[in-house]
Amino acid sequence: MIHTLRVENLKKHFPVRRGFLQRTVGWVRAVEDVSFAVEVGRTLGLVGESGCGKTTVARMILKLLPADSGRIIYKGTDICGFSDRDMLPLRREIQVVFQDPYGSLNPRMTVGQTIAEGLRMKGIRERSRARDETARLLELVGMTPASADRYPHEFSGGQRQRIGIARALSVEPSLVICDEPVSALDVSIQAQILNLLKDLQERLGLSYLFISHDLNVVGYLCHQVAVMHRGQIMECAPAEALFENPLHPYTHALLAAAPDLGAGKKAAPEAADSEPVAAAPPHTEGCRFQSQCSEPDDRCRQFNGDLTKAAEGHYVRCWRT
Amino acid sequence: MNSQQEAILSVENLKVYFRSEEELARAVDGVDFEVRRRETVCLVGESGCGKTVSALALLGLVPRPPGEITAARVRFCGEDLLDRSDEALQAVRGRRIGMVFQEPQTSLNPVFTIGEQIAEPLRIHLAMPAAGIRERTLSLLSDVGIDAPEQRLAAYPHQLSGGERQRVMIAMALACDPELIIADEPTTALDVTVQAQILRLINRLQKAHAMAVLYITHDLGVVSQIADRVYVMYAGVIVETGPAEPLMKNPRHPYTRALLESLPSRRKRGLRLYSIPGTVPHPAYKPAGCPFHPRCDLAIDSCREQHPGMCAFEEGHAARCPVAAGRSFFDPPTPKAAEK
Repeated sequence: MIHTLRVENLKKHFPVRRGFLQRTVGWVRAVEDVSFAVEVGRTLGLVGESGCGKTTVARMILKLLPADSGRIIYKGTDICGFSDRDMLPLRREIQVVFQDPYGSLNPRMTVGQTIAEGLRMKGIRERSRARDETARLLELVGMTPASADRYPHEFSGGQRQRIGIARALSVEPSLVICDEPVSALDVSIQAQILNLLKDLQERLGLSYLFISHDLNVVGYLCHQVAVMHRGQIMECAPAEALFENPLHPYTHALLAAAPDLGAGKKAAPEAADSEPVAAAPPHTEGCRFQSQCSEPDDRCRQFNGDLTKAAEGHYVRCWRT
Repeated sequence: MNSQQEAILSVENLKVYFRSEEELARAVDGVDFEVRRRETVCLVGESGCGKTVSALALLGLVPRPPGEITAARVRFCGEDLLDRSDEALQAVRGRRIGMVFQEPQTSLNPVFTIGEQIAEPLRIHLAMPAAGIRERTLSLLSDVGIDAPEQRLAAYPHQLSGGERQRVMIAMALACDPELIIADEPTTALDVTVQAQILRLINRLQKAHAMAVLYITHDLGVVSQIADRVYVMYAGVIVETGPAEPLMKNPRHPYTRALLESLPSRRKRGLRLYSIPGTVPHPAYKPAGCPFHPRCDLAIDSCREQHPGMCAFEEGHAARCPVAAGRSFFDPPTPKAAEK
């Protein structure tokens, strides 16, 4: 088994309801045919702009949101149709770290209580053992064991994100979904958390699904990268290949827009100056990127293709390749 | 860039303290900076370093009390800003100094159309007649790259995307043809592709209108794209200043170096990122001496006792670190990241 998680043709459409009877007047095609795989002990970066559906994908994998169709294969088993009860043992294996370190911890529980909740799921109930285990977890994420008796508001953003990570690790997961875990943090704190995630992966053999909009962070941390645009994966490749040889016009646009320290003022990016269409665009035929693409033509309007293989492990959704 | 050019805004020894019953928070603790005509100056620092408070204090937007503001000098186009009454400040704010804030969703009024909001400064500051207002509003909207401005005039803020709202904010700031625009993290809430568009827009408008821009940000990537000159702030003081390119390529202050080293990028794959030990001091409990010394690799005894002065390096490049001034920093700034 080389994949911790494989997602195949995942789909989610949300109804748009209007009027007194809340009739369905249309659909937002939030996730349309998304497939990718997270290898054991590696990191897959899921990159895209706000509203592209990346968090919806994460919520479907966590079974917080039912998928319309598709398969979610965790360690060889399709969990897409699992009931809440079936999921219970798997909740220990798939954990999540959220973006907002302020909103994702219960303000009325001490850090120790928050972490002990996970430990109880694992079967550690005795007080003294839970205490030792909490101390070990806090040290693992670089905090002092004494933090266990304090409340979330006593900590800074970076420290809270460490607590969130300790909570996720308390049940010994093998897959951690990180949904923008560093985007709310200052640069110097962001570096600490990225180093921590890297260390933990090495020590514990964790697999990460790392959701982010920041290409610099993804390029630093991820082994594989999937670029998502309006509900579809546009390009998926090993990180080196994606950054050295991007093939999809959308990936080009993203890379051109990402601030790069080496570039300097004169090299300010020259992308299309039109405003990207908002989250619920009118239904158009063909490629979903055509309205922002630099050279769309008739074939783009008819293109309805799948990801095609451009090189070993490098897949692109564009007829030009 | 051009050091002979006159300063349009100059600030000397600005201090903003917030007093509560228990403590005195020294949010801005003696800041000097200037913005010259037609240049883009970036004020960079992490959250809580005092960069936003400095800008708000200049404009009289810090409530007093609890704020206490003192400065040796705050001059805008040769006039003193700090001693002005509120009415006198009104004549400058929004007219000669435009402002763009971080969150366009919260800084636009949700119950007025964007047309009405852009018209407001025109009516108040320029006493423009209604016909002229409509024409000017339309030209402002197309200037900032909004499609079909006639239809958008009647739109409410919630009907626009985040990027469009920020464009509207910029249109409002530009309305009275200001000499200076203060932009406080205008792209932080936006996607990268939209951010790139807004940065280009600001660059273009600045040239077209011959404005100066004071750009406040925490993002060094943005700084490298737009700045002519940079001021780096830490714990309420300016720790380094200089023209953008030498400062970013060859930073002198240990804090600036550490910030740049801690930025992730694909070129650092496999390396450990440098992370600054410890945390930013609380503004009410700053350490004696250099505020950065508890987190600094280079700190020596005198750093713990004396508040360091600015040490000059090349043309216009200075850092508040006598230790760095005594050492050569010409080696590439990454060995620390590789060692760990």
